[in-house]
Amino acid sequence: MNNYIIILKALFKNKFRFSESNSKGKKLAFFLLFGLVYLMVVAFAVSVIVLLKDVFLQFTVIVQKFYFFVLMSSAVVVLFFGIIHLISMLYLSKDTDFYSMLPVKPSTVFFAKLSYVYLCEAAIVLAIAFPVLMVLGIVAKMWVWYYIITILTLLIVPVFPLVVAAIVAVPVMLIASKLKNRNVISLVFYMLLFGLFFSAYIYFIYLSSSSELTAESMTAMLNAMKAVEYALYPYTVLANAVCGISMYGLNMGASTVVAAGVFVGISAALLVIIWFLAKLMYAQSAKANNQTDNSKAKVGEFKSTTSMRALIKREYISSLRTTQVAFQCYVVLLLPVVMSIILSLMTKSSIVVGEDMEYINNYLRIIPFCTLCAILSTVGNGASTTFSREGTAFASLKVLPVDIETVVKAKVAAWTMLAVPVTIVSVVIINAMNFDLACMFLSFFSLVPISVVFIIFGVLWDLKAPSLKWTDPMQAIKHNMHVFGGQMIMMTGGLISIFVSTALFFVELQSAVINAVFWALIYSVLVIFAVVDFVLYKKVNEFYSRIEI
Amino acid sequence: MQEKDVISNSSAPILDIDHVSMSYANGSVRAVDDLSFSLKRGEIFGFLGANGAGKTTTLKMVTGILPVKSGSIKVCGHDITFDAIEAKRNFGFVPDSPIIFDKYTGREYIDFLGDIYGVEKSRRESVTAELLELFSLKDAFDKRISGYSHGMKQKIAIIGSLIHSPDLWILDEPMMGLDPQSSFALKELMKKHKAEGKTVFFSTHVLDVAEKICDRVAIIGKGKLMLCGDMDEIKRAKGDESLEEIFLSVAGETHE
Repeated sequence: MNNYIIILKALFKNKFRFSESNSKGKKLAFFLLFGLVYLMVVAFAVSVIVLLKDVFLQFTVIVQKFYFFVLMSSAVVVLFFGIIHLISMLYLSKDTDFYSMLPVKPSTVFFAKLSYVYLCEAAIVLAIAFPVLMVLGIVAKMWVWYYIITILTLLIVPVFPLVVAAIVAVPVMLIASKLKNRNVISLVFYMLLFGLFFSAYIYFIYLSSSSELTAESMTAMLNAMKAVEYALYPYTVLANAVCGISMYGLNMGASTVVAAGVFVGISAALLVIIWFLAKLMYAQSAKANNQTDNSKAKVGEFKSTTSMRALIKREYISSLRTTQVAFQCYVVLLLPVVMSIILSLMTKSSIVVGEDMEYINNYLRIIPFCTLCAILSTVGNGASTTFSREGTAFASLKVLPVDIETVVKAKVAAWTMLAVPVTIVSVVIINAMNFDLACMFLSFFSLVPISVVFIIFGVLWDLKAPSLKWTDPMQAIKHNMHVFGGQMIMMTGGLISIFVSTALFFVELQSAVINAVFWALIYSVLVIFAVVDFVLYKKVNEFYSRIEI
Repeated sequence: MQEKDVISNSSAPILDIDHVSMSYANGSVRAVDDLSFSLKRGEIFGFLGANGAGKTTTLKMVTGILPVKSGSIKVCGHDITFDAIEAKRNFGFVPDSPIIFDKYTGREYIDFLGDIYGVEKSRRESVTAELLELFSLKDAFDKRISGYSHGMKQKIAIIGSLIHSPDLWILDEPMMGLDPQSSFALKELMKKHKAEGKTVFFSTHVLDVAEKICDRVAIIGKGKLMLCGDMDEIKRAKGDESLEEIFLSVAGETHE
């Protein structure tokens, strides 16, 4: 068998197998929960398309824009999550040493890992975008060619952002490997990259959401749209090809073939560039990033503090020790803030002043809060893996003369100190942009405590049965049922609020009733987590004593 | 043709480390400093040194895990930098850290290595049958590696490193975590490897083991070669002291 296939197979086998300790019941619960959230997300997207049916039937160009938006969003998702995945796999993975000693070319390992990330991302894109675009095709009564090429399109969508990410990552990781504190440097670089990207995205939304439609604002918005379409030219071309919009002065058939060819050509050219870069720099960079830092340390001094503070400091230091773990614990904390800005801008642009519009405006005002509630699920990554990340070092915690309550409090404090400010900032952003006094009080006193009870839940749930047997710290985060389970419960809470509110809106119940039901649902999320936390906290000593290392 | 010449020439070194250096932190810390020595066919070579002396760094350079920035390393005549694939085909390596394929069963792990090295199925079966028996690992062979103890992981790594019958067998602190029976079995395996005309190169802290089974040893301190030679010659030159005494007198000078 070809070495590329052997390694690719090994990567999948080693990453996607369930742990033997997971019972059939747990696996079933995992798939059911996952399936439920998946169906809810797809159902929401499909209902939006069905609602816009008439617009799609009238204007093919809107279908093209929507198609482009779906492709662009997929590319953004791939870029955002894929780059972390890619860097973890290519440069920070513990298997680098192992593959380095095998008689396999570094470029073979590079492309096997790149393919692995691509296939994972392609599966995610297909799972989400495929049903959405199929429904779009049916609603807009698209030609047969649309359905065939959409499948191929979705398969090649992740290539572009991943190759771009890989091209950026190769020299950055090579430079970082030559500097001290390379983990921190690479983390800061990618946070800046995300910051830049989201700033551009938010600026675009801001232009689009201008409430006064003057000639200047329209021109600015169109220019921004054109800029985005040019910046993401391959996707524009692809969307045109699929939607049957002629380009380059050709007839429809020829234009479609040429446009699809342009996309494939650009992706292929990028692949050639990455192939050269991989040959030149990958092996050197990956090896350098795995070297132990033996540089001489500055002579330090002793500092005394309380045991609680010492435990909190330990929590931060251990979570920052490896870049990929730091990515998973800290970078995701930015998501609620970024999303609240985007949601607020979108809401602001949707609200139209007028007495008869108050019913719709009321509905539009509450949607960002339930979306934020669902997105808050990302702030718990650090907390819900806090014991699992200890691995065999958990033994060192057990021999300390500190009771488990203190340890739990320290871990909760460490992550609450980050999650609460993030939540407060997000809530303030939404309220500042679309102010409503009642919403402000209700959201502040529900979402901020929710972030606290969610953190407590994560810590206690992980203590219940931590995954301590790992060789790579990423295993403590990925495939960890505690992270996934907690996130799914939180997301489900937010999504149910959206669905129920939307359903009540369409049956035209009074705004006061919708608001009451909506906030009751949000507060029930808080109460459920608080009750579960209380029950779990009563058992911390039992959980702690039964952990064997 | 060139490869055949190299292999067939029994006097050619099986491993040749020539003026190799490695530094960290922009050259301010020298982990390996102008290291040169070579290994012959059919010998057991012990690589000794205190903690942080540069043993693992050297072994990582020999196996291609770390780049060789200064000097050269040749395995069976193949340069590890310029002819890496051929060089790697000629050795098997047992690292000091546990293997990372923990969701594989022992058999799947061996199969993976067999595929990479192009080892036939019948050969996989015969090699593993013998070694599983030797290390009492038969019952765990079809279980996931994640459930193995440290010693069991070490044993499966040892079996994996021998699946392609390498001319050079490299082991980094191989006795760590092994029970007495398995340690004994490993020493016997090293002797057998040598008896087949092949070479064993291993780093260790266990001086008794080195003294008993090594034909030659090298002692490094602060990345520099302090002593290298035939076991008996070294002892005679140092007034018939034990290896422990020789080690302490040589490595002690550099150990902070």
